[in-house]
Amino acid sequence: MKRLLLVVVTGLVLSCAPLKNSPFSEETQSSATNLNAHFLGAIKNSSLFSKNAPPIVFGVFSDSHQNYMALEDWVRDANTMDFDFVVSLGDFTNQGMNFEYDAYLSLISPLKAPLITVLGNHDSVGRGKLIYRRVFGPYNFTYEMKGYKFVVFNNNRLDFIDEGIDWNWLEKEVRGSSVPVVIFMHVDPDNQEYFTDENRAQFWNIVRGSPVRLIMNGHKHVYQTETKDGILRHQVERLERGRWSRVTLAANSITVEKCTRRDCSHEVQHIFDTDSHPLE
Amino acid sequence: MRFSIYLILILILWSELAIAQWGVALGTGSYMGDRHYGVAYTSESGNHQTEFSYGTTPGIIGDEVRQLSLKYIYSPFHSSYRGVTTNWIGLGAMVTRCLCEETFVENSDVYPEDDYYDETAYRFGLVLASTVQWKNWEAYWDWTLLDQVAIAVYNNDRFRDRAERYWASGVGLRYYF
Repeated sequence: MKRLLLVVVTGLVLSCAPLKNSPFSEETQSSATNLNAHFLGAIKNSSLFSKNAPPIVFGVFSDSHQNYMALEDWVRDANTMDFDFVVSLGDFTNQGMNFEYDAYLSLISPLKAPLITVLGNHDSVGRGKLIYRRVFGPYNFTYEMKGYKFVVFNNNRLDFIDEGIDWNWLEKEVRGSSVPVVIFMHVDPDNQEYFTDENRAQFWNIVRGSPVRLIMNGHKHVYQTETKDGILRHQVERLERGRWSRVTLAANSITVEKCTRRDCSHEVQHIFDTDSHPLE
Repeated sequence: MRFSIYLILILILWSELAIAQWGVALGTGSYMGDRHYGVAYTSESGNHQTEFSYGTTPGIIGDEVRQLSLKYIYSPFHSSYRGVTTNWIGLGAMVTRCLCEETFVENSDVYPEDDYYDETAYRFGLVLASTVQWKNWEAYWDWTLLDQVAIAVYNNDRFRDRAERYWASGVGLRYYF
């Protein structure tokens, strides 16, 4: 009788466990594909700024790794705020494995605002690159909103040693823009482990004197804000302790707030010249 | 790496000591491959079962994933009725090794530190299993909790009551000679 009870209880607990074939494959339990494009469809490609247009407001978190409770809490908090979109700056897994992608997808699914997910170096490990491409789409892409251009750039150089980083694509997208540009990427551009002196110089040569006004990255797990060559760079702290950043883009200013759960403070404001702004 | 080798040796040694019947196995799931084929050993008492298998999972946009797996189950709760022997529930461990280029044991030289990433080639699991044997045939079903999943659930205590999401089930058939 005890044995039967043991089997029944175990069976009841585990009866819903899905058949999972391999932890090493790009197969996910979720059937989601091309999510970034799906979310981009939800972001209106509205006309250029008018003076009365409301600013763009978006939330950014990074390096959630396996901090699933923190991510679940953040999604719940974010759903009480009014964002035009939100950005995950990568490293939402530890080893780029399919069950980690599934956990992330499950946790972000209740999010009301459109979510852009950037590839992190940890998400590229193993078959992570293949899973990312299947679930989220291309590594590099752009979109425009209210007179700003957003460039999502894969700069995980060490994890793409064979494929290489597409600096030419970045140069074309940044230099060819007639509106202010915001770059989202995972690794800080001056990272000495990830980039050679030549790489770092190449990056700043591309963005210096260009329409780039804001660069956002994660990877280092701590907040850091600096202004270099007239460009504001903001590094987002890891999500573990509820840390994230809120960004407000107005016609000629950028405001970045460091936030913990629902409280935002430590405001940084960057006012830039409006020469490249079409309607100012 | 050293831990993986020790674990494999212990499992093999254990299984060798316990050999009584041997046979072939065919299964699906359990993190051992969409299809896995292998050899199985069961001790005279039926308390110890070991399976060594080669598994494949079709790639969706990449190549087919190939892996080798070793699973050991200790199942003391068994009974027989009219020639049908049931191992009600057993507890064991598994280790699986990917035979693919993308995974690694040691980090590539491009990274600044040897342990920049944890190894990805081996995965370990805790296994619960049940079997039903009739004559030379045995059907089994099991549930596997991977090491990385267990760590994640341990670190996120709010998720412990969502067990069904984190376990992987599998089924299979064995024929003993």
